[in-house]
Amino acid sequence: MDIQIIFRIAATGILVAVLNQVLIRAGREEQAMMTTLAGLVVVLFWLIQYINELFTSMQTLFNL
Amino acid sequence: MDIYRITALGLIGAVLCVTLKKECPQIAMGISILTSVLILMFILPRFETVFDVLERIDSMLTGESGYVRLILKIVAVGYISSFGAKICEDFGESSIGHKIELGGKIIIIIISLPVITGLLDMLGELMP
Amino acid sequence: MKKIIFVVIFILCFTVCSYGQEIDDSLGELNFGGIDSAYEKITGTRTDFRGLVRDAAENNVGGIYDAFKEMVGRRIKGEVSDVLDGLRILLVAAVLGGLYKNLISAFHDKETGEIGFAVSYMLTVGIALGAFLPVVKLMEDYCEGITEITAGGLPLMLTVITAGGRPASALAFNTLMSVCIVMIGKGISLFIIPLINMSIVMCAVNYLSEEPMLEKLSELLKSIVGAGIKGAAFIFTFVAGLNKLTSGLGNNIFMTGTKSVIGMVPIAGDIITGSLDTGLSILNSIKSGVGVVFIAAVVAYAALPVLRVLITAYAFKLISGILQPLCDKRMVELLDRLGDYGLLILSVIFVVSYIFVFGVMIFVAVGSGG
Repeated sequence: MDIQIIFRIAATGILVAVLNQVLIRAGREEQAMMTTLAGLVVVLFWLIQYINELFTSMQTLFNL
Repeated sequence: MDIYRITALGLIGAVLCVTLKKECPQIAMGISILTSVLILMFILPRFETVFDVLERIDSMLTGESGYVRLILKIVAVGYISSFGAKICEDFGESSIGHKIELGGKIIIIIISLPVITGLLDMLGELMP
Repeated sequence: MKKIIFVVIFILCFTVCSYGQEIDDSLGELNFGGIDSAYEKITGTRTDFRGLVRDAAENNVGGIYDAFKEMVGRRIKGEVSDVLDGLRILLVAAVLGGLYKNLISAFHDKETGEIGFAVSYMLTVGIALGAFLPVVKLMEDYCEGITEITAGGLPLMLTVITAGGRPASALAFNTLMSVCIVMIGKGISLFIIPLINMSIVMCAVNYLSEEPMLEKLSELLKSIVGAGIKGAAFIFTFVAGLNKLTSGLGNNIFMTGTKSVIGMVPIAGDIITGSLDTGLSILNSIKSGVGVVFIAAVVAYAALPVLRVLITAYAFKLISGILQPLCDKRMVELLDRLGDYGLLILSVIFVVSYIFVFGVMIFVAVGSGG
């Protein structure tokens, strides 16, 4: 079971949150937002693959 | 046992989700979606046996085929729309969730039009 | 209709054997003018009663039979189909209303899965109806078949049996009997069968939506059908009783056994039992082979459908009982009601068979026994 992926995403999330706080305190708010967006894009990229896999398997299973 | 793994996965995902919700809600949503997807992907292959039994019941219905398949499709559509809608609701976008469910209901009705027309035909045969 | 009744009453008044010459003489003394003008006033058409009565008394029954066929075929059918058209429109509206209500109530404020339930429920109703339809078809085919056979064969039998110069009262009775049989047969296939079909449709639609929408209407139609069947059996028994055949057998075991079995026929059992005496006494006095063959053929023709309908009706009830702990209340009730309709159909088949079998028996007995 790919529980690793959850930890990976969680780690990315915590990293993004920490960087967010640091950059906001340092006064660079635009860069803070950009890191948030970057983390989001990476996470979405992983996520879409999984959702795709789920929906294909559901489709083959139910439409048989 | 499967149930332990599913529960454990769900709990871990929930904890991480709650941790990140205040700081970075987008990532939290991603974790929530992913946990649900993983659990589903784990359970789905187990359904094959149930489907075999249902196929057998379908073949016992003489004269009408494909109706059990139709019901399975309806169940699938219902479940997927409910899946999406609940996740949206969790993160505050309940109106989007509602629209997803509405779409699901309309699709179910469109899929099941043959059943409704079949019933109307049969009633029409009886009436003089 | 009035024409026929007048003619037959007149004929019954002739208690002597009447042949050609004598008829003209007797008729010459009677004054048909009053009747002619009254008839013209009521219905607006001219007619010739004298000619009709003479034809009938001379064993020329073609005219009466044609007039009768015209009446049953066109007038009654026209009126009945007007009523049925109205009912059909009401029914279509009710079906659409039921479907709409079902879908809409499954839409609002409910989980998506509930719509799936509504659809699969409709599917199940469709399947149950599909399993019941062959029984309805069986009843229709059977009634049609018997009516056609008898309506086709009766004029022939009438002419053959009365060609030998029977008394006019026998002729009158036979005419009346054949008229009665064909009228009841056509009445059943034109009126009662569509009513049964409609009430089955209403019953199915009733259980489509969550609240029973058409329950009262469907029950009303069912009781109308029951009353119609009883009425048909009663009319027939009454007409048969006009012939004053007394019952000689009442007490042997065969009679009581048969009576108790026939008493179990739903709805019309008690009436049929009452005339079983008459029927069995007629059976003793039948001497011609034609009638017996006809009766045996009808009984053989009826046995298979009756068995099939009986098994189907009780199978539905059995399944409804088995499903009760498992299934939704609506489905269980629907299957139960369909079983009841099966029993109703069984009683229709029984009454139709009874009418035709006994009718022909009486016909033949009166014709050949004098």
